[in-house]
Amino acid sequence: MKILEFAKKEKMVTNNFPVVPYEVTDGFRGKPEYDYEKCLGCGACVTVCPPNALSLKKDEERGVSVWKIDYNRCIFCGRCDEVCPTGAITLSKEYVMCVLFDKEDLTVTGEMKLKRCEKCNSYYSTERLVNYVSDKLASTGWDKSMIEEKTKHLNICPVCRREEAIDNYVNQMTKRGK
Amino acid sequence: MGGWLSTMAANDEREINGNYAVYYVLSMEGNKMEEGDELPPEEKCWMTVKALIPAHDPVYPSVARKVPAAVWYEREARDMMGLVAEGLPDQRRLSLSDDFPEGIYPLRKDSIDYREKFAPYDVDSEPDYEFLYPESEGVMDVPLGPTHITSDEPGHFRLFVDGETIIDADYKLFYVHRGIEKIAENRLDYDQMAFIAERICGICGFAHAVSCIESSENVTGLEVPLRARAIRTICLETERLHSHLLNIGLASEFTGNVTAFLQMFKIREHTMEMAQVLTGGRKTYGMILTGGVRRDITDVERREMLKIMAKVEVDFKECLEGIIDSPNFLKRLKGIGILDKKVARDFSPVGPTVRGSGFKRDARYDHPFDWYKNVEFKVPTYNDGDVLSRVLVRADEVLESISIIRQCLEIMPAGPIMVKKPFVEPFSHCVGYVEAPRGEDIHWTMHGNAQKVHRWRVRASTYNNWPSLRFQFRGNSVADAPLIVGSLDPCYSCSERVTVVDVKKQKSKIIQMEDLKKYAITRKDSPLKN
Repeated sequence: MKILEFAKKEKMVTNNFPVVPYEVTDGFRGKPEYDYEKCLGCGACVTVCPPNALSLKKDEERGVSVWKIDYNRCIFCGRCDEVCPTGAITLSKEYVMCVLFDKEDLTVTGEMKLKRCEKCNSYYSTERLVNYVSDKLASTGWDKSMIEEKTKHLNICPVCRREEAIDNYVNQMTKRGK
Repeated sequence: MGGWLSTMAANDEREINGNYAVYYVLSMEGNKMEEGDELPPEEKCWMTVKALIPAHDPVYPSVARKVPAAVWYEREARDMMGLVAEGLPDQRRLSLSDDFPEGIYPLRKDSIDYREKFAPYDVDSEPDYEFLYPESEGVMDVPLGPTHITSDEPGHFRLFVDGETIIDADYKLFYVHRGIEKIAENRLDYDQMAFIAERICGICGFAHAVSCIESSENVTGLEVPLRARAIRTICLETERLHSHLLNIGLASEFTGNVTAFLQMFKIREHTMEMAQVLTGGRKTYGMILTGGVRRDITDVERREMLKIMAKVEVDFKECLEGIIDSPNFLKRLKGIGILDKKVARDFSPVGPTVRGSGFKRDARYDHPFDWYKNVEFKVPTYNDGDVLSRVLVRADEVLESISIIRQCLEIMPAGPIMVKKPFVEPFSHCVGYVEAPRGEDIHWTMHGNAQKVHRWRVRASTYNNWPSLRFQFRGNSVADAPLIVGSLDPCYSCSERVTVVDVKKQKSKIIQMEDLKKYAITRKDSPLKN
């Protein structure tokens, strides 16, 4: 009988959920919100995502890089939020996620233009990322020659960069040999 | 010697030294048959016995004859690795389904070509599992299960009854074997491991994550920052709180006291709120990485925690008094499902199950990890070994957990919460151990090349508790069966549907879960009649 007295103390503990929303605490890890304007397409979030909810694919035909989040797979760990350099993906307090019939409604995509390599003309990175790096370098306060030295390889793809580096090295060694 | 078999890992080491290997991990802590019968704290340790088994003839002598606790491990090693234990009393399959093709051993490194696609299998041709029938007259068998996978551990129980009394039981589990160990091998790195380890269990996920991560930290001797250890401890205890509150509630629901169950759930909701303050999710998930924890506790959150905890403590004491006070509850639980001390010693069970039988076994106390060295707590034990003892152990532990969290929040040191993870030596191995709500969780890992896992052996706490369940069933009535299974704290949904087979008359009858539950509560109008 004591249990009934205990039960009487607090009369109503359930709330009228869909009408009155459930209040979450401040640090709640909810639905990751994507800010397309800030995204660079660097892929840091894709690398760390444990359940592979995030993906980044190159679409060579249209010349874009497609970033995609699939909320069906998301476990709300917030690793993407931690690593994003620009804060393009942040965890919100949103937790109600339901769609009717089509699972595709629970995905968000962003397309970013790809940049071609100046040497071999193949796509290698997004324009935004390249611009971001050059902006960052410009804001360091180095003098012009230093920045030029650093950005020398910025506009060519990793493959060409490697070849160039090997060429340079071979040239140097042969010079030294002479 | 005072060793308890904690886990056994079978390993495919053909690419390392040309052999298979089995590792028996023993927890050296003393016999504990009486009070004070245990090793001094500085002598308590983990002991690993390694045996190499030649690849051309994978047979080894069984230890299950001397140590009954090893039966399940050796059956699983046969299923998963194809290592045959000579002299093993029970030769049936354990973890693989009965229609799994012969000759394929999933955990061998060369077992499956992933490029191959398997044709769908016809389930009608699945052979029956052989249950161990007792030989005597007039015995009926009552299967419990195995449908409805809502929780982590559905199982098929076959109760052999004489009239209303259970004379023996046998069970088949592992219906939801997900192959998580295989997923991790050579594919996941240590940052991703914690997140999949959390998915092993729906209740004690954080304990698995800590255990998994600490097995990789222990091998390198990584010193985790003290603050991170304290936060891990707080999360582990929060998890214990909500798990135990659920189980105490369910114990009262099975005796028909649904009001008490709902009141316990109300209190449990506050502990979920605590988890939300701590980690940002309603469960303590996504907190841990190798080298520390991901999220610090701010002063505001600390005060919020203390406030909620004060309420939980007051409410819990009052509600528990209300439950224990009811004579019906005591009458139903007392003397039911007794786990004898000697049986318990043979089968190395863990957690509240073994503490209810009077053993002071607790990984927090025997092998203090994380922050448990710095806090004071008691290990509650009860000597009766029945269902009531287990419920009371859990009730005491709830109060201890609250005290531990409070101490941690008071004396938690300042400092960093994460350090850089070191290089892990390839093919080194280590255990990680945690006292989860249901008992100790042991993860044994061997580390491979490329900073990924070579073999990951997960031993959840209930795995050690199942084999002794058979002895707890004996001599009890059918109506108490769900209660006894429930006192181990596994999942309840396993008794969703019941078929009764009368061996003599060759008749079978299907009883719905509702009827059995009603019978467990009222104990009138037995569904076994007619």
